[in-house]
Amino acid sequence: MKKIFAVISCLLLTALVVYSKTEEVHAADKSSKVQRLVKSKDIKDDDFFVDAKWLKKQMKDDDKTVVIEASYGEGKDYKKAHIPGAFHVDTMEIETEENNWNILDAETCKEVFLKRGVTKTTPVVVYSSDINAAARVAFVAYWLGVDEVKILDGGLKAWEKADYKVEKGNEEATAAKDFGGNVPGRPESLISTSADLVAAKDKNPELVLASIRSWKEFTGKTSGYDYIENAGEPEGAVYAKSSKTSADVAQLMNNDGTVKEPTKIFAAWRKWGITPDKEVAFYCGTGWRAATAFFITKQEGWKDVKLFDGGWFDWDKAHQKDPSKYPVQVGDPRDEDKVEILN
Amino acid sequence: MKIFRYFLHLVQLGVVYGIYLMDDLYKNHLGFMRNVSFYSHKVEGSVFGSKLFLLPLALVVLALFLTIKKRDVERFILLLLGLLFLIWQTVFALATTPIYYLVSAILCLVFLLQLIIVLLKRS
Repeated sequence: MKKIFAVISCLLLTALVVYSKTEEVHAADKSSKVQRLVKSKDIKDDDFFVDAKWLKKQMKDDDKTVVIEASYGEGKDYKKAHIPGAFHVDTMEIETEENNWNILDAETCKEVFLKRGVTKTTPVVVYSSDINAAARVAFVAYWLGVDEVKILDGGLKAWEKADYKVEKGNEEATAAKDFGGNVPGRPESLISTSADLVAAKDKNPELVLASIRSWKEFTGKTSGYDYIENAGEPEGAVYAKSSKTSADVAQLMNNDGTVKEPTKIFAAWRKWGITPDKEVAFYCGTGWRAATAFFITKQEGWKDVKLFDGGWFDWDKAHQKDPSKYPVQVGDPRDEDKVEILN
Repeated sequence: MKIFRYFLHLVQLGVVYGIYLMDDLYKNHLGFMRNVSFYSHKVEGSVFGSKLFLLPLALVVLALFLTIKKRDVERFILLLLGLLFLIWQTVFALATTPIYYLVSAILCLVFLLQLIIVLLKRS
């Protein structure tokens, strides 16, 4: 009996060792498969995503550089640790519920940046623990016309991983008075409301309306948000695989919070007709996730991309008032039998 | 039974601490803020919302009745909580206090816990 017990114990132990080794190999495989959009040696001047090393050098070379930590709220995490000299921007400064969570008018947004000393020629680098918040604020700077807007790939984690120092507390900014140009400087990058989208579609019927939302949101199984009662998509929308839930762009990101090299995802988009040669308007629920897709495609050289800021939130509201002008599709639009058009 | 009453008072304190937590969540968590904002406006626009001031009024009347019937500390606290709820409901508004309805719900809950304490003591 003792012998049998000893043999079984040995077998179990062997199995445990083999299993743990296999897990290690799998983990190593996974980490070696991380493909980043930002490659430290290849960062070009017109890139939108940069790494910590680039930012460190930029801050050293150009003391006019303004670093912004973007997040909703009072900046609790920012106060605990931020990149030295960085200013906190509360996303509520650039959007409100009264405005359907859309970006506020250009003059109001301009003041947000002027308060942080940002003018048209100030290099701006935005970071956040949420890539979508960083992209959202970076988009506003880009739309206003700031010449050089960047996003720190991987956020504060990447900065800390590079072993650069962080600071606590708040930073006092010296406000700038003159932006140095008319705002918005890049009005073509934004489609604000559903009415604007209809007008843009009238102007270019070939415009591709690309949904960054999860498959469940896209097919109308869920609205994705408690505060959006109805599920569906604007009629004619196509699926730009990016999100697993309404709060992420997991398909575009690596596990370490850096942006994935997008070749594979672009191949998936191509099947839906989302290609770089077309005019493409990205949207999501309220314009956060779509801002990330906007910058990834911009970085990859897509010329005519836009952000439909209103997204499903605004379209649904418009649909409730005027269903024929703002029709909705529910289901998979590739199959006529599986999609329902509400108009 | 006495220990249970003390336990309920502790629960009340925990629920009151919830006001701070709600405020913090509202100010720092985007999803929570948007949901609270959405539902608060929904309540305000409903018939229930417009008549909600009647609830603390009724509770104050009940507390007053119980206090007149027999005076003790627990009943006095019940009356104070009822008045606090009524004052909150009438003096503050959603426009100035975004977590107005959340606080109302918490105050109502605290009052109901106190009512349980009073009834337990009575029995």
